[in-house]
Amino acid sequence: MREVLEWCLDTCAAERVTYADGRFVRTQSETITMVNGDVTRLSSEESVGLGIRVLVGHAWGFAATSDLRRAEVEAATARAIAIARASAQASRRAVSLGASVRSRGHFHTPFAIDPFTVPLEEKLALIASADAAMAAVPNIRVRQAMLAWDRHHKVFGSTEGAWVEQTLTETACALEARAEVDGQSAARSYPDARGHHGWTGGFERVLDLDLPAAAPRIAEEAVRLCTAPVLPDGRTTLVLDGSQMAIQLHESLAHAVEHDRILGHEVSFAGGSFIGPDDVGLLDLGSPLVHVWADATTPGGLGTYGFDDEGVPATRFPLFIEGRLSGLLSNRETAALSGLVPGGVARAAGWQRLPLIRMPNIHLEPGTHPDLEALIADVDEGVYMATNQSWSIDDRRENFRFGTEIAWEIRKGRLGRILSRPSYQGRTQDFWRSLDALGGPGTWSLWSVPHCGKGQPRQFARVSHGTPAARFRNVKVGP
Amino acid sequence: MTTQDPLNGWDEATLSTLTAEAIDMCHADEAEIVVMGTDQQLARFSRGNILQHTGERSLEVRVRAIRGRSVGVATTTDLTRIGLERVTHRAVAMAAAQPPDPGFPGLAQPLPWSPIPATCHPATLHVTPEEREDAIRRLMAVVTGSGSEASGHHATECRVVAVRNSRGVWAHHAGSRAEWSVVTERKEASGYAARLTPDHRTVVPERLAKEALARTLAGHPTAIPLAGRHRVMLEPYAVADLLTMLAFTSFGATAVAQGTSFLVSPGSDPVVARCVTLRDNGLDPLMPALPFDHEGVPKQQVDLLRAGMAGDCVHDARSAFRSGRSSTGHALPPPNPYGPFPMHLDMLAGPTDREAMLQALGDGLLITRFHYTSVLDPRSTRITGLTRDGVLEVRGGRIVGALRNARFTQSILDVLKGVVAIGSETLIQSSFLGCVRCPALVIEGLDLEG
Repeated sequence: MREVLEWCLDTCAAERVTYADGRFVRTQSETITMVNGDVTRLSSEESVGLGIRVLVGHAWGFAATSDLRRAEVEAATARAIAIARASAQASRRAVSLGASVRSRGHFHTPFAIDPFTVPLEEKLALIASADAAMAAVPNIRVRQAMLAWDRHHKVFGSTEGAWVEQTLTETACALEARAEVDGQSAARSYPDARGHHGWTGGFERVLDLDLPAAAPRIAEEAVRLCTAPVLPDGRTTLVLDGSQMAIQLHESLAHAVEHDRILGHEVSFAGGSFIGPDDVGLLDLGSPLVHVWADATTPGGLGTYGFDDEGVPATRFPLFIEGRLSGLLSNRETAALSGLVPGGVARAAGWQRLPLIRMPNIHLEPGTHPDLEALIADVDEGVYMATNQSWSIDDRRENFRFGTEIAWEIRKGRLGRILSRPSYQGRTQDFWRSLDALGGPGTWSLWSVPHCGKGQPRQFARVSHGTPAARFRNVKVGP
Repeated sequence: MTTQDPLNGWDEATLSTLTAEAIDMCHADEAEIVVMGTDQQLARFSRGNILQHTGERSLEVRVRAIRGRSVGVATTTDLTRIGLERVTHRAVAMAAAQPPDPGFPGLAQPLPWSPIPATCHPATLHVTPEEREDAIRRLMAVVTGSGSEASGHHATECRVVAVRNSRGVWAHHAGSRAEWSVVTERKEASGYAARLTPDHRTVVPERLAKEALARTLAGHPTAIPLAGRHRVMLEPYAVADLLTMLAFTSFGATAVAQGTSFLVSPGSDPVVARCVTLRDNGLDPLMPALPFDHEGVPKQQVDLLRAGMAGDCVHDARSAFRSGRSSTGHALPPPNPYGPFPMHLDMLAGPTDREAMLQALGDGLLITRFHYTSVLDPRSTRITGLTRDGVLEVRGGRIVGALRNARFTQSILDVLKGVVAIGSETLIQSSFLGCVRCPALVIEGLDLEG
């Protein structure tokens, strides 16, 4: 594909554009979905194409094509240049990309077992076994099992001289059991909800997660939820598992530090942020326990890569230290605008999409409580919620309400009854201020967010968050 | 500049040849080829600047290969002969690897369908980048002239869908879409307007700007609405959000089969106010219509809510087979484990003009749209979400000021039971899986959390 990309960059150079880059992407995806024992999806998908981004003066143009014949590539390049020139005529803003990026290199996701080489028959047998284990539990109405594996081969080149090639391999699995008892319905998932728990890496992690062994537990919990008492309204101490903490972090802090949101670039669609452009170093969440890092180098994360889609090398940098805002997620343009260093966080959902500021892996550092038992030991009355089920937050990332699949009441330092329909709500800064304990490294693990939506045309990104269990005081909870 | 004809290479004759070749290459008992093409140009603007302006042209082939009752699906964007050979080979390999699927109904039989006239407007297909930027700048000029700022997007697009199967189905459709959204801001006040149409000439950017501005200029939002049940008028944008979530939770046959839809046991009483009728209508040329689904089955109009009573769900071939029905023509593209979906929601207008709607509201809140609605319980249709871009206070049928955004948590059916007036004008908007046409509604009770 070097040749195709060189046609496009040569054309751009001949047209004397200010800057241009091109991305060739080939994505291969295979998925198995089993519903109630039937294979409802067995698919092999491939998407191949080229995206060309051009800066003319102070205006951008972008075009993409799935037709890689020379004439079509040149037509797409001409389209990108024409769009940029049309925009340049009336542009009122100054675009700077800061220091040149001349990255050269390769990156490949490490794995032990290539998911593409595991026989389909073996994969089908694995999820059939998990399905059968769920089916053995009475009152399970819907059983779903899923395995998916993707490979993204990306080549990036720019008129500044950058040239990087990457091969990212992702694997994912999920189980869900939905029970129905006396007209009441409830669902439990494993390893996580939303039908997709993913990572960069190979099939070895699927084997480690042992889906058939977990299947009876989630099926039994789903049944118990159908007749469990509903979580009553009130304010109480709330302990969240790592899965729910991942969504809490994702929605309330990770999106809020996206520089394009802060600058108002996303105000009409994804929304803005409660954080202002000059808040770095000043905004304090009021909890010294909050240490949040952006890290595109974490082994196994869905936001792990060697270079972003502007060719900037992946890196690790702080966003909050002891609760104080320490950094933003910036691409080359917004970083240059504000005198920051680009964070290597520009990513596109495919060859046909423009790179946007997309969070890499965002982690909340663990605390000192060694395990869940230690977190709840000194809780006289409270609730422990696990596995995200629903999420809603306003367009400034302040007013949120999240639901989980399951909750347990906490009484005198011990877990008690299962409670159904759990949810909690609050305002972002008040909520983080109420954080009073974090689980230690033993409670910390990577959780995935598989469908993070942003941009127009819509782009869905995958990302992971490393989060521990956590405890918050005086939180509004209810059904 | 002039633009290349988006339909170049995507016309019926070319895609007929391509799909026929792909069928021939597919060494299976049966085969289905779905071709989907998108040629889209889209510009995003924010606070006075055009930030992104993009063009995308992609054509994708999806192959379903059947061996016995085993089904494999493969897709590609590589339409070279080698690419087609590979994708058909992969589909056959997928089918060969799996056990027979007892729920597979077989491929669709050919049924007559009628093309929908006037769904592909050359004027929309040939909008140039310069014309798109000019339209946006005209919109922004109106907004900045009032001391406000405008953000949003404007897209023009050509979409092509073609379906062929080895039982003789052949269907081809090309349609155009023009889409606008605009958020206007003045300090903490904001407004919103949006349109979706096959013919971009029907949208006047300056009018769209004025519609959004009217909400922004209604007042500076001061207080949060009091917690409790409010009488509200929902603009069509807010109504579209509710209807989309209702379709997502309830009107696909899979949700009914899995017991998560209220249609499982609707009872004999009205489920919403008797004045409410909602249908799926993929055949109306004023919407981005599609005369057949992605299995090549002709689309039927389906009454989802009929004069307040629960209506029918939509089916694809698989769900129809399992429930002893016929497909209503609502299959999504393969591979699709989610089942059928109503992509063209159409709520019937009422008799009440806008001034009379505000009078019917009397004292209450005028809500522009919702944000980030999320399902808490699909069976009861209970959702949570927030207001966005304009909560206006109305007293005696007159807008008197603006309030801040607030969260609501309520069953959609409960909200629609409280419909007391339906607007006479409808708007067509894009939704996450299709489009919605709906009017404004006056609602007796929306539960805001303050």
